[in-house]
Amino acid sequence: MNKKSAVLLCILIFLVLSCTAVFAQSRAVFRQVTGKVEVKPPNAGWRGARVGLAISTGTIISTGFNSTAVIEMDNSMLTVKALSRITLEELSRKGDEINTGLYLRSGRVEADVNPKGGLKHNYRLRSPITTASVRGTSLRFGVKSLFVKHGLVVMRNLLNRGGTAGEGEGVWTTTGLDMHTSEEDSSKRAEVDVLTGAEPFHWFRIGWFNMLGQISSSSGGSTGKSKINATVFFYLEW
Amino acid sequence: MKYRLFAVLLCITAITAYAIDFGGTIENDSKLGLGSGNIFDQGNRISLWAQLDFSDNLVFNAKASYIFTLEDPLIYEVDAFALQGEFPILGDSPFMIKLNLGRFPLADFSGMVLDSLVDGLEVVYSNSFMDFRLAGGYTGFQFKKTTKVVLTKADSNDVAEDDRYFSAPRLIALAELSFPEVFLRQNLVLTALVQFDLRPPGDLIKAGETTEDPTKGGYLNSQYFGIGLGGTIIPSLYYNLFGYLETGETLSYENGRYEYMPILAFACGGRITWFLKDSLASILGLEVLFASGDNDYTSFLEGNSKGDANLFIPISKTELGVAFTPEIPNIFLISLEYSIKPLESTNDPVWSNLQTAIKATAYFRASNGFISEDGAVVGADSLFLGVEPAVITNFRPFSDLGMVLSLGTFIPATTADIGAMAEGSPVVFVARFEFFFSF
Repeated sequence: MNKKSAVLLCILIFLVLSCTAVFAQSRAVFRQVTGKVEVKPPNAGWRGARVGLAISTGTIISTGFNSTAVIEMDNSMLTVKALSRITLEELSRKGDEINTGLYLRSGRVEADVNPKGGLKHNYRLRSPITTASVRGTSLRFGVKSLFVKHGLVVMRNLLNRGGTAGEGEGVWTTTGLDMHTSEEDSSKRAEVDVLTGAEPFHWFRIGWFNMLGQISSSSGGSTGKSKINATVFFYLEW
Repeated sequence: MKYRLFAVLLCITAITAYAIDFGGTIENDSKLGLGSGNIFDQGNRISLWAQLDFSDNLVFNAKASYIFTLEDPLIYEVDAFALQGEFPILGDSPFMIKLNLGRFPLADFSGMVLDSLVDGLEVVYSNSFMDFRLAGGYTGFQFKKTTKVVLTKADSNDVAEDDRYFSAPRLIALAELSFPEVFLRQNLVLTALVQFDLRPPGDLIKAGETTEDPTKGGYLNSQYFGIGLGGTIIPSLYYNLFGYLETGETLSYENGRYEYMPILAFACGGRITWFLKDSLASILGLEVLFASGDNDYTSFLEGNSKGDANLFIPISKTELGVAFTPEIPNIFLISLEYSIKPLESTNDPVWSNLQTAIKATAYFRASNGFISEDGAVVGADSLFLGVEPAVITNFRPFSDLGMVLSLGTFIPATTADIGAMAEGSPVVFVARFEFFFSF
């Protein structure tokens, strides 16, 4: 190896090390698993999660009944509640900036984001109808609502309208086109409103082309947890 | 026959091709008054509603009620009969258009000036930073027994007349611009409201007439320009402020002659609420309301007898209080309320919803003219009307079931006629029970 090659090699090693430092791949690791928790890495099938398992971006996490998972990411802890499905969309560090993106398809999560000295943490939680930008806070996030334990969070709906919640406050939406702020834990309220408050006692729909109908009746009082479904066929005699 | 049957089945299928939701509510409102004379009043309301979903964006809502009271056992109302559309355009600059066509409730942002059913059209444009609402409606197709739109002597006479079925024919237009979280989590709303009296001239007194007839009146057209501001001051401390300027014209009898005189009146109010979640979810609230009055009125409705009319007259009536229930015009009140959820710490999903509040309200007149309740001494030097302490217990174990028990007593100022001011009979203590159930 001549002198010129050695210099080039040093420069190459320096550049690789610099890039590694600047664009460090942050880690997301399961710290606690209770019940049935499964993960689906990109381009792979579903498999069970276990404590110590590291996941990469694009991984889908799914929890079953009475199951929870606690995942540690850079400067943050994410608790995935039962019956939730969430995708780790982004997890990267660029210099002193950490970027975390999570997509909650269903269920509820709790996030504790604690930026450490000098680090800027861009933490984004989104659902099909809302997006919450989080910085240095602790919150409970559902598909239609959030509740802030510490800090300040802005949740945006499909119209990009922001609703701000401070400590002990909540923001909720019913369709993604409305936005409400509340001085209490609105996650429960939104859930109740959606499942029972605005939900009718009965509904029925009869198919247009095949003359096949379904009658469905829901019950369960304020919780709206149980549903009774009955299917009735309609015949046309000709 | 076959073709008819086919046609009927086709129609039924076409109608029911869309999702239909339906349900109902049962409400009871019972009031017991104790004093030198006792009263018992009860109102029961059964409502049925249906919602037909044409698509995700377009629904049809209908709701009708039967109301039974001890005074009148046959009251009906169509509470809703409207086509509602919600059309979001999502993209780089998302916005949404909302439509309401038919019969629907229309209210201003404060609910103090307008809160009534109307037949008309409402259009709302919303984007990321503002809502712009335009609405127009007619009140003359609503049954008079349930209407809250009573602004003139003619409106009041209609209510007492047996051969009248509908409420006052008025056209209402509303334009409202609201900016949620426009700065530092503060919400701003600007409103303009106009109402036109469409009553035929038949029984009305005409301008220029000289013979005074205290049983009749004239037109009342009015406009309202309002501003509201609300939001957070510091964590757990919230406020709402509103102010309205009213203009228009009302029939006045001055110098032996009827003339239409300008209205120049105002109303303002506000509420500060402090949430103390760690102390049994307690809430401390302070409320102030002021609606201007006029001391030269010779009656509460259309009584102006000198110069401009300064009595603030909202489009729809709002009753205040538990035992003492005056309407807003010519009232100044200060109210302090403290509520707790005594079983909050149990985390019981049912009993933790129990809430109890104590409330004390001091009532004054804004001027020494008339208020809606009889008995206040017109022209008296003191504007102080009295104090109403009340205890209100609210229990909503489920979203479909709720009940409220309100106990209130009115302690009037010494010169006031207790009986006339409290519920129109000699009553000083009122217990009210409200029950709500939906299915």
